[in-house]
Amino acid sequence: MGNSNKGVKESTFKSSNPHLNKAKLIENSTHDRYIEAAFKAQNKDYSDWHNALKNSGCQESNYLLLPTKVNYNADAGLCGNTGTLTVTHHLLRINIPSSHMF
Amino acid sequence: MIKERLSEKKNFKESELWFALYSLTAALVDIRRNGKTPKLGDINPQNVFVNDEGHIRVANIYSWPHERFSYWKVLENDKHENTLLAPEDMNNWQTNHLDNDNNHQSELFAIGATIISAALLSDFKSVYDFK
Repeated sequence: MGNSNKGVKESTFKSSNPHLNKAKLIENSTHDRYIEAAFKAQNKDYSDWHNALKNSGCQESNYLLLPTKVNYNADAGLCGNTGTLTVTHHLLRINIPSSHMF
Repeated sequence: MIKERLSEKKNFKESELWFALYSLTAALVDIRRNGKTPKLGDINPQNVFVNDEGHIRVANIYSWPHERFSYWKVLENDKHENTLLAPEDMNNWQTNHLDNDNNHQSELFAIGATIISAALLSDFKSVYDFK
């Protein structure tokens, strides 16, 4: 996972979910695929959300789409309280599941 | 996936719909069992995904920063946001008759509406009059 890895492919990702408007589809060298979405966020908002995520107790859920990786880079500046938040979710299948799964 | 199926004119099979119903219910059970919020997930077709193994995953309030519960979207009168609140619940919230004990009504309504959307390959709002 990660854009700097050799062999990483990036493509655009279309979804009707508004949080995925500008998301990218990342495929690494081992063909694992991830959805990566970046948001502008206030430090406090990020902190609140991250704590809520950690405290939710749902991380091991087999039924929820939760981030596998979260990265927050604060903007430069003396009074900066905003930054860019990158959220990575393990990939979702875009094609249709085959019937043997049901 | 509903759009994909619609473009291919390929309806979901009954077994697929049962699987989706089971998975959506299990997702809410997970949140209810582990989550600390009294409100559950915001189920609607936009928040339902399928992973590599063909298993359904629900993107709930914890999945994204800046996500808000449907209740807040209704209170803020954000008509651009998709919500599937039960009509009586939506009316209660819009008229400030808040009843936190009945949130499960909307969760069950949303699951049913999502399954109906999948079964009909159609937006639920086109087949149900919320007024």
